[in-house]
Amino acid sequence: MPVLWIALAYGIVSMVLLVYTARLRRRVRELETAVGPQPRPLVQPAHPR
Amino acid sequence: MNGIIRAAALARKDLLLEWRGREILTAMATFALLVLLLLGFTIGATPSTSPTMLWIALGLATMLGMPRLIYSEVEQGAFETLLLYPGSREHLFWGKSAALASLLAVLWCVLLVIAGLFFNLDIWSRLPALIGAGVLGVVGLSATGTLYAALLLHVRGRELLLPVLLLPIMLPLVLAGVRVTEAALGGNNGGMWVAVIGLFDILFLLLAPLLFEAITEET
Amino acid sequence: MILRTLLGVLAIVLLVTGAYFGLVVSPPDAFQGDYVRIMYAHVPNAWVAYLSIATVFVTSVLYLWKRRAIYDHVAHSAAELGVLFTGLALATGMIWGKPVWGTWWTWDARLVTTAILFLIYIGYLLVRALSEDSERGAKVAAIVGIIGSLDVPVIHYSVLWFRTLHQPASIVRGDIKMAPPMLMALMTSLLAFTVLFIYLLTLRVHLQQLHTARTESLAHEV
Repeated sequence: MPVLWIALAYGIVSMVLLVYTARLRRRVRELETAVGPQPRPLVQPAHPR
Repeated sequence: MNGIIRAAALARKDLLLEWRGREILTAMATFALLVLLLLGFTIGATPSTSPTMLWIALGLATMLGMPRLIYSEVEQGAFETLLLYPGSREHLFWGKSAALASLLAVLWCVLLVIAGLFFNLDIWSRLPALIGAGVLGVVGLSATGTLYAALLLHVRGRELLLPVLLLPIMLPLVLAGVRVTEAALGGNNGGMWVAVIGLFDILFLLLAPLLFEAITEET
Repeated sequence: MILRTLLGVLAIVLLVTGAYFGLVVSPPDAFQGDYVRIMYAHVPNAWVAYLSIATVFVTSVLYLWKRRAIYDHVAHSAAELGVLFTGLALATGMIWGKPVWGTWWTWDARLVTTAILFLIYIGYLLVRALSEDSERGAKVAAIVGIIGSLDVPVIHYSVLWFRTLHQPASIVRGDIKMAPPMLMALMTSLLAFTVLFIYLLTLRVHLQQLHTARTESLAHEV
């Protein structure tokens, strides 16, 4: 019986984190092909006061 | 001195406008009474639940009516005009929250009387303490409410967001208010909670005007 | 970039190790039995949830002070991760509580505060989503983030004193006597989730920077 609850807990955590990380990485890949891998301008823009 | 005059003028204008039709106050009071009725009927009044229902009614009514008051100029496009006046923006904050606080104070008194009837509370012998509890709460509610309303001025769906953002901030205030009201009604010793609510008020009265200025200044 | 990949690998290694310690190596609890193993999947999420809000606070203050976009990006990313991990903390907490204490929910201060924290995060992200993407939106978000995060300890103590100074908590979450293998499992998991948080944070911030760069380049084309 404990196995079910433990599996549920570990399962949810793993699944959610996996899905989130995978989607994040995919979105990063998509944008990198559009913009280029290092979109850092020469000067770090500062929002004016 | 000049600033205080300006703040008072703004508060006076808002309250005068409100006095003409008294719509905001009427709507808030009606809503609050409905909440009291609903809660009183479903949950039932006991010495511990009565103050809670009172404060829930006040809090919900505040979130209902406050946007109307703070944004009254925005609809006429007059808010920018207000901002153009020379001098510190801080006084805008004081004027608006003073108006709101006055409205809420009136609402509190109305709710006290009605709650006294509904829940069979002896408010008349405890009136000073109960008024005090109300003042403490109303000051905090109006300061935080005015600040958040100003914060969300340029955010889409601000009437929707206001309650969502405000409730977590108001929560400690309401909890403390409940305990203070309990104490005022002759319950346990509420000294600690008076200190909590007082501290909350002082902190927000110090911080809110500064943040208000920071958010209304030109980017 | 390489650093980030290394972080990711490290996170995976630590997570697997932690799970191994938690599920296999560590002993069952005298009172809870094997259910105590859920703790290793629950506590690290709560830890990261609070680590995230601290990150939101610090970076929001830094943004208001220095006005550098990177602080804004980190605050936004930390809030998004905060929703994720707070949600997981609440879910695993309920899964832990039901078989062990018989209820899905208790009204103790920690749980209530964590639930409100979840909603504070959502409010913050709503503000982000609904304001025009500009410096003003970032400023508003920073202030909302600062007040929201400062509110968390205030809520915790308000709730704690509201209840406990009136009547003692009816369900007492007894402290678990931690044998060294249990401590090891917990510490490993805590470290693992912390590394995971840092990895996801850098990744999410990178996404935000790409996003901003793309918006800027589109604007330039126009």
